[in-house]
Amino acid sequence: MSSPKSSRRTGLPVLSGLIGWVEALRRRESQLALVLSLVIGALVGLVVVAFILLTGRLAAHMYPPGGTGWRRLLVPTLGSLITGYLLYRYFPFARGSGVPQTKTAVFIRDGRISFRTVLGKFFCCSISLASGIALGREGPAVQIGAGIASVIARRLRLSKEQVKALVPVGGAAALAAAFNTPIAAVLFSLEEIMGDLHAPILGSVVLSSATSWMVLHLVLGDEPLFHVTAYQLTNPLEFAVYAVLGVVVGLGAVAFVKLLLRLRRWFLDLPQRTSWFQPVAGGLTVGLMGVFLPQVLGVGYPQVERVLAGDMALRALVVLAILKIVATAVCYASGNAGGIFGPSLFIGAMIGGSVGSVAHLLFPQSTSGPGAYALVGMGAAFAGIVRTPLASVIMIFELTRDYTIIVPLMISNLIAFFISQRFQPQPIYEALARQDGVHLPSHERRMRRARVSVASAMRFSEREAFSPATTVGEALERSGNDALDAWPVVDGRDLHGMIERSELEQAFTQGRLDQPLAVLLRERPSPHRADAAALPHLHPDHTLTLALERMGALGRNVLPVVSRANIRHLVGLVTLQDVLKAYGVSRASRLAARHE
Amino acid sequence: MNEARAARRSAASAGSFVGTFALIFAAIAGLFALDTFLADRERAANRSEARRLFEEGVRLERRGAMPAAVDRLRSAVSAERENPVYQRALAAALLAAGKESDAQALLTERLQHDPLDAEASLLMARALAGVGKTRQAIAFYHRAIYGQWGAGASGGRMQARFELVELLASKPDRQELLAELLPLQTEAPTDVRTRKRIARLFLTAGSPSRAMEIFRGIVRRDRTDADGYAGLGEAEFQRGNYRAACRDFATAVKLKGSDSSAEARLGLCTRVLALDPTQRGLGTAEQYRRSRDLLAATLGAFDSCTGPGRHASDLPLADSVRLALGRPAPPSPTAEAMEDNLDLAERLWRRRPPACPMPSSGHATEVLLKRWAE
Repeated sequence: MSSPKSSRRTGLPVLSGLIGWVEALRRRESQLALVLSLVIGALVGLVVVAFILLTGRLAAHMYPPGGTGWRRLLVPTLGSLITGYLLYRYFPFARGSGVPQTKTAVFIRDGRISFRTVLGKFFCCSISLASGIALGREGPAVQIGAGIASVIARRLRLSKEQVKALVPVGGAAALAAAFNTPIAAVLFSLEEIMGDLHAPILGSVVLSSATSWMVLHLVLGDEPLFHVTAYQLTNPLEFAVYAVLGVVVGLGAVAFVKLLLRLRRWFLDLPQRTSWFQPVAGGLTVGLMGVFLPQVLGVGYPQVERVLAGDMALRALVVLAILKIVATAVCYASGNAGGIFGPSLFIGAMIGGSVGSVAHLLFPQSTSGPGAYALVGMGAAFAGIVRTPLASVIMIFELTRDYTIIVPLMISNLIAFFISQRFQPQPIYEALARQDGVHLPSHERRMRRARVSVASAMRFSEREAFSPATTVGEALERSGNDALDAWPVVDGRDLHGMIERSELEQAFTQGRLDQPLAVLLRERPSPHRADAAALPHLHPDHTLTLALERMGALGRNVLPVVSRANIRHLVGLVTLQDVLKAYGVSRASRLAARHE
Repeated sequence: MNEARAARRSAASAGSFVGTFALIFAAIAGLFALDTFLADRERAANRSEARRLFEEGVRLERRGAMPAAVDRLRSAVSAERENPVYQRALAAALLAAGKESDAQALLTERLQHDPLDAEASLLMARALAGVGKTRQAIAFYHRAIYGQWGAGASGGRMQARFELVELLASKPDRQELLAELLPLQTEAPTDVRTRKRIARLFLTAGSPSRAMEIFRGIVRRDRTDADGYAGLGEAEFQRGNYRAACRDFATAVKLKGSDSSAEARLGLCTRVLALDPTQRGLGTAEQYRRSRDLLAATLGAFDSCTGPGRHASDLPLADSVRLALGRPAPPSPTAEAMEDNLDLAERLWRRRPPACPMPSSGHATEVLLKRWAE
């Protein structure tokens, strides 16, 4: 039998070993990210499954079979009243979708989403969605998942950068569980939340999404969100119909987004003291619609499934598409908790089903039933409203697991995306954040900015270059009033190197005025002529951002632009002034100076 | 001193780190339990809702309210998707409502999940047969026959066999029908109704001897079975035993006077018997007279047929028949003269366009010439 003392003696090394292991894990960021991705994926998956199940159970109790019309009016009105008060009083950051809030957390708040917001989002959305408010559960799930990741990361006292990196990891895990589409969740997280498909967190996002999806399958089994019958292309003529579908859905998406934004602006302009009561407008609107047409209530996935099965009349499809656009816009704009992800799919399915029904009426032999069009319409609406064309294609592919749907889907999605982009340049999540006074970095603008290349800013003049035979004295004389830090030493276009002002000045103090520049360059401890490290440079296709970064790192205001095939072939020069000019800064400053 | 403080800080930090992970794992375990509980409740609620909808759908279907029945059954399937009973009921309702393509889509999904589901295969076969896809329907009937049936399987399997042979009976290929009928004969129940059904199918398949065997067994057991005698008469008629056929038809009419079909067949049989020159016991003169009558009837049928398919090259043959008929009958005709008449009648019959309708007076001629042609 061991004494307490001896156990303490044996326990100490174990404890110190554990502490050491923990410290080592904390230091090794990549390993910690791996572990956290798995843990966050599992936890978020379970939370989202609980969210879905609780909302479903609650909805079943609120709307028992054979419920009367007045219940359909009363329940959403009361639901919106309760959640409106809770959101106003306790959870102000849990309003709306959750996607813009997650983006705000990533780009502005160092990844910070409070635990209170997570709780608020969970319970308010459960009540709101169960009561029949015409909003979706996926956007809120994204914020819940991102919030859980943020809370965990902050509790583990990780750096701000690590916290920010884990937020989209949680978002992807949530979406994978909420929508049962793990690949689309990864793409959505990168495309929409991060705005960068090449983000370095790709591995973590994939891992957490897969873990969450596995958890979903473990608990709920292999049940796809929608059961879709096998798609068949009846006739090549159908591609034209899919193009028409893309146009119609694109215009529908624009109408929906504009209506939602205008209504929201109107609600935001109302006095602040009414904000707790505003969600009732949404509840009442959807309740009144629900009295006559119960299919408008809630996210409406059972109706989507019916359309996908081709089991809905044309008139019902058109009416539901219009009513859902209005109901969702009013519910969201009035400040209810819920997202637009699910309603986008509903609207797309109804519009797609309508176009498909008309096409089938006109060309019964050459077109498939309306179900296939409803399916493609869902993807097109998602691309038009949420503006994530890649994620929308993959999402529908994951839903159907049918490769043949890809081509029509791409046609419709891209057309809807371009129409939406043309008539509503600002994507919906950015516009919503902007209405709240938050200016999120626009992905499209960043992409445009990133596309400004060195080639568009560079120049080359013989007067700004020296030949290898030029002496130090001549060089100093010619560069006297020049603002550059260095000059290329070239023989034709063969770049020998960049001679710096400091090198010239040092040679001058040493009295080597007659020495050619070639000698100075040869004296450098330079390894091989083709070694890039020996010659800091840029290529014409590099971005100006990179040019600025390199100039900053080297402390120089000029860099040579060389060919990718031969780094000793000078293509041009780019200076700090050129970069500023390309961005319009120098012109603006000149104008300002002239104005003064 | 500082070292000890740093160690304490490090231990506290590590403790908080481990504590957070412990909390996360506890939350995962708790949530897993909660989710499993909620999922079980959800499944139970879905099952109960699906059962309610299914029963309502079946009730509506029985009342003939097909759109409402389809709607309820569809909802039942949505609530409990994996339930094959609901899926099959929905498919059957869709078929009854005339939505073959919807039924096919549903059954395709069902059969992808369980390719041996014989009941679903039978429904699929019906759906395909309904839209005229006979070959595919036959394949699904075979899958239904050799697939897995639940309790009361033999009834379903037999039903599939009968439906298959009924489908084949409506097609021209008699060999395939016969091939399906033979196993059916051995497996089918031995009640009189089923045996009569099988015997009639043998008649359709062109196997009158098998049909005769069955009908004989039936009338042997029950001498008052008019249908049995009518069937036996039909079998004898197909075999060319017109005298026996007429006797059996007459018995059938005697037993059941209201059987107009047997009466009509008896009339035809009597006419054939009166026209057939090859009947035993006839004198040569009578045989010759009948052969001339048959030739005249054949020419009448040929002349009445003016539709497409008739060629000018056939006219000389008709003229030679007319010439033969125009000649006076020899006072003592020989068997060769009768054979010549029959030969001419057969040749002229073969030239007659097959789609040409037969005048009602020519049915007896048709029976005889067809039989000889076979």
